[in-house]
Amino acid sequence: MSTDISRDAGTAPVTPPSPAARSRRTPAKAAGAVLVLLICASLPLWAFPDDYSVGILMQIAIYAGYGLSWHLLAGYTGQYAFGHAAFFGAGAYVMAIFSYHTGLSPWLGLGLAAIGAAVVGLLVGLIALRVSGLFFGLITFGTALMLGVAANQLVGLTGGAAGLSLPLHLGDAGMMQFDTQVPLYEITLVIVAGYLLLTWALLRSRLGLLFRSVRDDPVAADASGVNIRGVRLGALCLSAAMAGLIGAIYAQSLLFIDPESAFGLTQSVNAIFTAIIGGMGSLFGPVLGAAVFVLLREVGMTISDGDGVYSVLFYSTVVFVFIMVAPKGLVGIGRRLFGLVRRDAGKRE
Amino acid sequence: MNLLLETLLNGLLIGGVYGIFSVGFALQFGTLRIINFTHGDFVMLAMFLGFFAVSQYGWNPFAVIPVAMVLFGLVGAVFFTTVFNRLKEEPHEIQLIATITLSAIITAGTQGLFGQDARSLDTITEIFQLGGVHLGVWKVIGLGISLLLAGGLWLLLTRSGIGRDIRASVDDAVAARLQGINTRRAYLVAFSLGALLAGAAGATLITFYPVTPSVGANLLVLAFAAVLVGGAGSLPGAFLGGLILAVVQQVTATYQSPALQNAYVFLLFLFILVVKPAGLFGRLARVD
Amino acid sequence: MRVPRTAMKAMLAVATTAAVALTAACGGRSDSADASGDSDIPIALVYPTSGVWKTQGENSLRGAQLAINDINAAGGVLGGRKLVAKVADAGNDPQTAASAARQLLQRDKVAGLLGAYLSSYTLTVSTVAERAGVADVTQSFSDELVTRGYKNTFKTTPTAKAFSTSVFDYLVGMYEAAGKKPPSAAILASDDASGQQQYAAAVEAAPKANFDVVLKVQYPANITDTNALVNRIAAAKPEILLLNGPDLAEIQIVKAIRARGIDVPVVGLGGAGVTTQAFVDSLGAGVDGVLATVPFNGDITPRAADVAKRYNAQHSGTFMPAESGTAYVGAWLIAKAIDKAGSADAKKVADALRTLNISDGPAELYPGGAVRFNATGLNESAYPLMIQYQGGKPVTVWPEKDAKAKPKL
Repeated sequence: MSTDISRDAGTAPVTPPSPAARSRRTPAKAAGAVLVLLICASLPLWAFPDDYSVGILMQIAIYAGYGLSWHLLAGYTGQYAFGHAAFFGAGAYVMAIFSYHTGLSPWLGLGLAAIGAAVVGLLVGLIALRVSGLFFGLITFGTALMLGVAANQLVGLTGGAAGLSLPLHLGDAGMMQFDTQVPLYEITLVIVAGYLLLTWALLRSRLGLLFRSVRDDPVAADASGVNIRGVRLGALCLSAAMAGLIGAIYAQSLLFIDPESAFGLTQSVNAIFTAIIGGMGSLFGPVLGAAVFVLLREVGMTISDGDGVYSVLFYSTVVFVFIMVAPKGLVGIGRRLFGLVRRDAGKRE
Repeated sequence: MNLLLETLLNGLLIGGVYGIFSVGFALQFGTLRIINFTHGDFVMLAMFLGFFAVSQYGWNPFAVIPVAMVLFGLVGAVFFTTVFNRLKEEPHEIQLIATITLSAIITAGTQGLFGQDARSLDTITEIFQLGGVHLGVWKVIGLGISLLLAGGLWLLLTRSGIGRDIRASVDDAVAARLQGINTRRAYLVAFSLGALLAGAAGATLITFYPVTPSVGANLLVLAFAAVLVGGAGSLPGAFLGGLILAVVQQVTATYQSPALQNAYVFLLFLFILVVKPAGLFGRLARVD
Repeated sequence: MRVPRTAMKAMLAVATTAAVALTAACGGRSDSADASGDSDIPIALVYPTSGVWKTQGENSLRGAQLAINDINAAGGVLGGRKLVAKVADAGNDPQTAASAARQLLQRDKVAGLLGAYLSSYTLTVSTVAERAGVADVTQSFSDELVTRGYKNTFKTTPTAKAFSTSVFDYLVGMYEAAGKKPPSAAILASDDASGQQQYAAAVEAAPKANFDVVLKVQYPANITDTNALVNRIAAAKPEILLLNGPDLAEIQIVKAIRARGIDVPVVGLGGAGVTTQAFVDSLGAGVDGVLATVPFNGDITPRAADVAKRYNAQHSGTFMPAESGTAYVGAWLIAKAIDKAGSADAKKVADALRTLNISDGPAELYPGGAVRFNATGLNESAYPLMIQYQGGKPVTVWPEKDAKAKPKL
């Protein structure tokens, strides 16, 4: 048997529409996207002003950004990171260590977090991209494990298992702390909007074409002179930086980070969950997936009377049934419905 | 000197069982090309079965093993027909999330039923002395059982028609189908065999290793690493991979720190990947 | 036709779920109790009642609920108003703990909060409480809880550091009293939050107390195969074993070394696993002789003995765990502060806690017999007790002034 398990990894889940069709719908889509984002941004003002609900919105925004970062890598270059928390956690820890030990503004830490995570991505890539497929997945998984052990053992730097608890500066915007959670939520939304824009622009650029060519037919891409390793490495670093930035926001929103919430298995699975529930290969899939994921988790907590175990049981079962019924995710369902409408309309014309 | 000997022997003794469930994982992955994230949970469930059968109903631990094999083989067949056979045709990300959620369901369900507490049998502390070296009685028995199972599996795969079909499918599914091999039947048998081995491994493991509902994730990672260290696609490689990882774990725990066990497993994995990307026995142990 | 119908169904299911979620998230506020007015006064109990720390979380919850029952039976607070518990599960990670606390504080205008047992959960829960201006009365050990400059965190138990240093002072005293010199020691601690702090402090304190440390190891809190640890203990031949960790790990380790014929005294560092019912049940008669330092023991005063007796009757245990005792005291402290403030308003209750100074009532359950918080929120008068299992029950054996029996070494 051949050990090249990459050959059948990452087949295109959704065939993109033809370029002409895409460009025709672009202005309407962009307007829709901006509208949706504005509505999301204003939610705390009219719909959910209370602290708890803003906390939920905050979680959705964080997981949307996190899911987008995983999806950029998996959905467009076919590299499945099982241990995406390696990058998320690296960003969270860079941020926390920086602001804890220097006392400087976390605004600076944000940039460092993205860079730090990108460096982790680079190191992983240099080893992992010699191979692909499962090996890549397992190497990211192992990296998350190793970083978790490091965060646990380097007590002087990371606080060990107890984690780092960041000092409170309530209402000090310079220290990225506010009287309510709303400003941080809006900041996170801006980041998510940035990720959407970035992904969208990337897909329309030559680089996006390279991404897909590497995913769909590495052999042909190689033959036509594409630097496959370079493209994969670039995508990995970008995705890692995105995850790292969101990880830093996560740490700042909690003012706390510990090895388990940064690098734990659950955190890695969360990225996969959000991206796949939404539907692979679609721009907004991870955002939708994040909303469904966080809400399911909260519903689970509510109906199970606050028992975390039954909450996991609940949302895992819902997702599993959903996956077996609708493997293309929420966006896939939407596409099928609208696709059907459009076809019917076509017939009538 | 005794400490070193004890450490190495213990690694080998535990490694036999690691090897068995790693082979089960390799069988399923080799044929279906699906990473079965529930494999570790199957082992965990078999451990619970063994625990309750022995501690509550007074069964002999030996008697549990064949029962677990039959039971989990059947459960495997049911899982294959209802879930995995369908997943085979789906894209990778769907396979991934389906088996991950299934694993989460099994783990959380078990936690809900039995709680998070670790349970262990009294056999865990039975030890004997041999020339100043202390060894667990049931660890020695466990290695014996593992070798027997590995031998039986080898016979099945090399001497029977279905075994040859499975090996052909592991080698190259398309070619096997072209040669008129009933790949669906081969898949079904291979998947059930994998589950059966998980059952056997779990029922054996519980005699010297405590069980918690979340132990499955640890075991899955070990099986995964064992397969890639040994060489993807090589069943003997997976068995040897399991042995090696267990020895690495024991040596690390004794001479470094138990907290670094899995970190060293991963370092070994990285090292082998850089030196020999096909895995240690990727070529050497090719079954043909 | 099949495809769109299933798709529609799935979409409907998701929409329903989302709707339920939003209703659940927003609802339940209007009809809840309020701290102003004449109704019952809610206090928040945030403990891990699922996951790895379930047992300890539930013990804490039981202790707090027993206290609330006692308080209400004794006439309640503010001249007859009753306390009512609002419970949230801190779950399995710090984020869930924070979210659960936030949801609870949002929904119920509580007078104060108790929780969240595990230090890393308390660190995030106390941040939520700090932001909301609600007092978190906590039994967690982590030193960091009182070094962050929070105004609303009140730590009733001694620090992790105090636990680790006092263990050696106490042992020196106990060995001197028995006419023996300090033994050679092995220090084993789990690598979770409290374990690491106990470990660091113990490794530093041991040489100062003239203990010869022949082995020091940190092991993962979820360890399953203790074989390597036991081999190392056997090779190092310590005369005493200082052990920290969750009960499951400690049960495995103690059983395995006993099976190996290693019969040295075992001392639980910072209480932890050796002070759980599971440890006692698993070891049976083998538990006798095991020592541990704890912040509370049910035999220290007649009042503590009375509380412990009723606790055991309710929960059919053989002793009242330390976390139940400290949670019991915590709930009483909030009640005392409500009465002192003359109001159930959370901010006023927190103010009252800052200047609280009592030496009767709940304070009688603690060694030192007094509770008052310093500027960092630490209850300075608390100190650890050394207990030893004798006849299957934990008995206070040191310091000498609190001892109820002589230690057997």
